[in-house]
Amino acid sequence: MATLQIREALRRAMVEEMRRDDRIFLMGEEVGHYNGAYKVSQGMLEEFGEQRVIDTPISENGFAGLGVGAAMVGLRPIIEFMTWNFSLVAYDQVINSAAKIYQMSGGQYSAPMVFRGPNGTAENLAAQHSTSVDSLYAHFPGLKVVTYCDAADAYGLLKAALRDDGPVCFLESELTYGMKGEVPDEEHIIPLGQAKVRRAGRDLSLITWGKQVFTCEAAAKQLEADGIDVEVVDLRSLRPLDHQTLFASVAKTRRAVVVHEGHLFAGVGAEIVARLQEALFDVLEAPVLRVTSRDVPQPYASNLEKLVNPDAARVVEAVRKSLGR
Amino acid sequence: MPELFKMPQATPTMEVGTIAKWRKAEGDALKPQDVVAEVETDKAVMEIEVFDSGVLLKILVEAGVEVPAGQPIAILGKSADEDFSALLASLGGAAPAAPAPAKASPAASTPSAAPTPSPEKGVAAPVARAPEGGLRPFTWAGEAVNSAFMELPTYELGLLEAAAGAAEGPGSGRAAPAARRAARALGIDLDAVHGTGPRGRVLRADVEAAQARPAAAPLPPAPAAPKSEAVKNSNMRKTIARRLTAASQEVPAFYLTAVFDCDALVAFREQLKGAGLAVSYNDILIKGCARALVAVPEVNASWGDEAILRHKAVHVGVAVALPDGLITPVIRDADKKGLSTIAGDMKDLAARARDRKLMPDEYTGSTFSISNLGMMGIEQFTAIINPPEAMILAVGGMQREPVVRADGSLGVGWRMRVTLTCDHRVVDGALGARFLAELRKLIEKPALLAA
Repeated sequence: MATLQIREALRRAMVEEMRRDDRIFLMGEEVGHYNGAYKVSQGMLEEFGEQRVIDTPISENGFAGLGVGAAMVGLRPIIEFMTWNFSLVAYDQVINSAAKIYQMSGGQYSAPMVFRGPNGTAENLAAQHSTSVDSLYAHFPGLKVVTYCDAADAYGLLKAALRDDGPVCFLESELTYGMKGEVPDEEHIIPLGQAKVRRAGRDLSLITWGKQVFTCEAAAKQLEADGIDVEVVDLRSLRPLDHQTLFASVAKTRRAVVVHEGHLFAGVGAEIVARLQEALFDVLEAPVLRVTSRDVPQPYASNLEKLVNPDAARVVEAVRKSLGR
Repeated sequence: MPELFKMPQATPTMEVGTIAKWRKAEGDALKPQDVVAEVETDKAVMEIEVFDSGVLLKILVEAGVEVPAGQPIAILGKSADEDFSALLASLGGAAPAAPAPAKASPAASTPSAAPTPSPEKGVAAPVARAPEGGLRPFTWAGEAVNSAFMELPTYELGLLEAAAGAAEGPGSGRAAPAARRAARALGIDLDAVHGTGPRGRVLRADVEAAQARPAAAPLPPAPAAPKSEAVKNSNMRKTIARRLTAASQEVPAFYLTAVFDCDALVAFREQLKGAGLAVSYNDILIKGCARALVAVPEVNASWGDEAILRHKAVHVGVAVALPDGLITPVIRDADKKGLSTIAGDMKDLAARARDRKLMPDEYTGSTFSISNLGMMGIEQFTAIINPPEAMILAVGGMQREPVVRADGSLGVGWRMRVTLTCDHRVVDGALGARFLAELRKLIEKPALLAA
């Protein structure tokens, strides 16, 4: 069992897959000679050469489109967005081309490819570089949307994404690239669409994903001191959604709070809440609440940023509200 | 492998297509995007292409023959010498039309071997999988393909029962939030309340009913399963089901509601009564509708695919309730009959309808119908069109209401609500409104009926 930084775990997944499948190539800004803006692709140019680790101009719409075309004719591109914020100028390629080409061509073409890069808030990146794009991509049929919290999941889920036959949006986090975790030495693949119960509990289910898993775990610890025992479920994959794990957890605890980084309004949490009340109307003891980023563009100042982002204190407050204690 | 080439659905509304012309002959080589045939659809003549390289092995449908979309029209293969006899035999008698004569020498045009895709380089099978129950894979020709999927609404997932637990009935803990609140407010033990909601859910009304019951009265035992009695459908029930289901599925209906001022109508009927004439409000409505149908002849009509039929005569059907259904006896030429005649006819028809003594020509052939539930205490409702008619009038009860009169003063007046269901294929909104305006004139100024 090796201890790896998340960036190393991601790199290991890409390198292993590129060694076994020469259709896979990596393309994006600074991925080659600069070794990646966040050093995720460090050393990959050296191993695979300029044919397979391709530096692009600052032109997301262009290279995302190139990637879709390459995927349509049989390659399996990894398109790295330096951050998902920049994917917005390539939105048409991801949504209108990658997500839809399989159905629109009557199954003649598909786009087996991975779009990946850091998502959501980091620190002092201000409004235009702090977007959580979860709901923007989870909305569309044809895409899978996957995220992780620790190094082992980062490795196993990216492996699965790279072997998937459709387009996958793989959401990483700038803040946790350096976070270390144990990754099994042997190859392992975590199938997409399987949530993970990170912490078992009986009083309430915290439903979350990405680095907010850590916010929830911190809140769970604080609540534990007061005798409140919450379960933490990491969805890992927003699409496909693992209904069985989600429903089983909330059917057990009868209460839920959804915690995510994206905005409240029409966020992925709204979908989760809708599904919980549809499925578990007779089981729920209280309305399902949400803790999300505040409904403002991300501020630059650190003190304001802290107020906007979900934190353990807000999660604790929501849990107490749900429990009435 | 030889495969069937089917009549494509070339336009969203296309149900059948006619092969206008075969552009390829049996034995001809095909490459992607080759036009094999021209097909005449409901909208245009379209060119039909093939997507893969291969050979046109067999034409199943001759030019000039019309077939439904999806029906095989040819057999395609990868090479000219493929044996398609089994596939042909599998079509059996279903082969839709005489095949064109076989070409004398298909071998003459045998193409070079069709290109086969080069095998993909060493890649393991994809490992992505869908969790059971949560997803429905996209399918193509019945097979799950790619790794695409659809997220379904939860009630289609089949997980709800498992998630929500199995126990039903009192004590199951299933209660709507509104019921819990009501139970708390009224001091009622939810576990003792019999739930009438889905899967035994206690609803607010159940809590209120439990409170209304005398405290000492024992609760009725909760049935293990709802008890049902099968009541065999009469032919009338089946006819109603068939005709009204068809009508509600096929007729693009819209609804126009109007409130009629009936003060003059009430006075008018009192006068008739005073003169010893037994005429009901319904009889007056029949006459009014008949006159309005004459005034707006475009609505006294039926939809036909090629033409709208405008009826020369005005025959008004009136729905009559029977113990196990309903029937609609017809007042023929109602526009030409006086009120007394209509009243007499209606009385006779209704009585014989209840005795099941009507002759077929007495309950068929209406061009318009009235359904009146006013005497049953219904204020307003909508009716389903009785095909092939284009309209039906649903009549609510007359009642006294506070009204604002034309001069702005407040008063009490007789009002009646009617809702006209219109077949939009025949009647547009403004046209239906014109009919109602005409009817309003006659009902609000019933003296005009004598004109």
